[in-house]
Amino acid sequence: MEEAIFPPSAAFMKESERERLLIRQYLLGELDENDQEQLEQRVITNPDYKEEVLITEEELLEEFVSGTLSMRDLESFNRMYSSSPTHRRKVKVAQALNRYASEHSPVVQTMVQKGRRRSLIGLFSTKRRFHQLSLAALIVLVIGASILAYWLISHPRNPDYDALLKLNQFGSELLQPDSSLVPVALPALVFRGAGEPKTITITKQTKTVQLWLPDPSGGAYSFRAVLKRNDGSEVFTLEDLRARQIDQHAVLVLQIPAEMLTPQGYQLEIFEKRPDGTFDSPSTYSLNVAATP
Amino acid sequence: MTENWEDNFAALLTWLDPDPEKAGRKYEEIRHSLIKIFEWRGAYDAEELAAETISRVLNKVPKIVKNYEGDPALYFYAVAKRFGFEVLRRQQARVEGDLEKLAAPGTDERNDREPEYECLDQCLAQLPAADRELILSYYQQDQPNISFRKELARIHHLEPNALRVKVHRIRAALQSCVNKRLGKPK
Repeated sequence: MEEAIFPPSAAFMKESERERLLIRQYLLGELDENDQEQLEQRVITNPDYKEEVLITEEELLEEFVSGTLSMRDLESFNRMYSSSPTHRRKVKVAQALNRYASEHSPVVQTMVQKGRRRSLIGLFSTKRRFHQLSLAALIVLVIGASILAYWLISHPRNPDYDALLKLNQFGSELLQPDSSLVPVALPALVFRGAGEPKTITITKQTKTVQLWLPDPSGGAYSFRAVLKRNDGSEVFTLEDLRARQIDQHAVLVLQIPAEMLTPQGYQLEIFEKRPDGTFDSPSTYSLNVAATP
Repeated sequence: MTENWEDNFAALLTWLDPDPEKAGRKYEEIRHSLIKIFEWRGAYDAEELAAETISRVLNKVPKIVKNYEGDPALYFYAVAKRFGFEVLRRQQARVEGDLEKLAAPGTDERNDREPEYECLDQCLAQLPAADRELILSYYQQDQPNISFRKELARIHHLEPNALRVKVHRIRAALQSCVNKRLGKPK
């Protein structure tokens, strides 16, 4: 059904709704020159207002892409957004984002193979995505809980590993230098090959070894870190590590409880995660841990 | 760049704000606003029109700064209106019969092979994981759904409008990344 020609009565609309309607009319080329100029003067003098116009434009693009614009708005939209290459680019990016999100949504993707979603009629027949999402999330939770239960039974808890996770989780505190911390600077992450071993000396006071690895990508990627003893046995694996911004440089900082290290040789491998989820060949560092009283 | 241009630019920044840092930010805000306004009016090359507007303001700066009252941004707008909107009207008259019809929503199954899609994939990979998940969750529905987004805002401990702004900022970064990778639209 086509929308009413006139906007809803201003008396029944909140101020913010009136603003959005005005902005929408501007973007659809439906304001007269005088109102256009007033709106543009607010845009150029008030960054918050400009942001509101930009958000409304995104919402308009989203409605176009999802096919929910009224006939009248669609006509205006087509007239305005086919008029310049920049506008056409915005439409194409909105279409790409819409498709990408429906194919790669964080929860649904884990449950439903791309291209097979519509064939799973019995499971996902409802048209309401929120319900689909809830169902998918529930199934993921049940599977996840089963895996977790199995893992907990088969892997007794290791307090050092718990501490390691806590020290390196996203947003964890960057420990500041004191007598209990041994900071070690390693070559940047483009480094390949084990190279000369770096000696790390720990004392009785040492609680944490902090490894600093500059990230030349500027923090664009996530990493997996694997620490192995020289005999090949694994000490730990950490997933989804991200560089921290320190003094305008991206640095991957690994904070390792000293109790996990004993005097011997280690190999540290850092794998960069590619956009498709696979890993690049690792940057490898040779570490030699020595202990002094 | 001539000495005269540099003097005028320095005078322009002082006019915008005595604090050089704030002046620089205000200059960038004005430039960005001009580009957006030209885009919304359908300009073929909004950046060039904004640059020409700024250049015209620069030439006038020595004469106007002493007596001008009010927000300098409005002076830029007045110049854009006098010069740029006229150029736009001429451009639009020229290309009126040449409009490319936009692809109807939901009908283009080839999008995943298009460069925008490929670039988006690469640009999304550069986002922090939390931002990537948020924007994909926000746009995962075929149709915008208010209750779903309210729920999403609740999960992220945000007011619905704060979520809107946050998603917009992530999306603006994505659009900018895609534009950089694809170059200027043809």
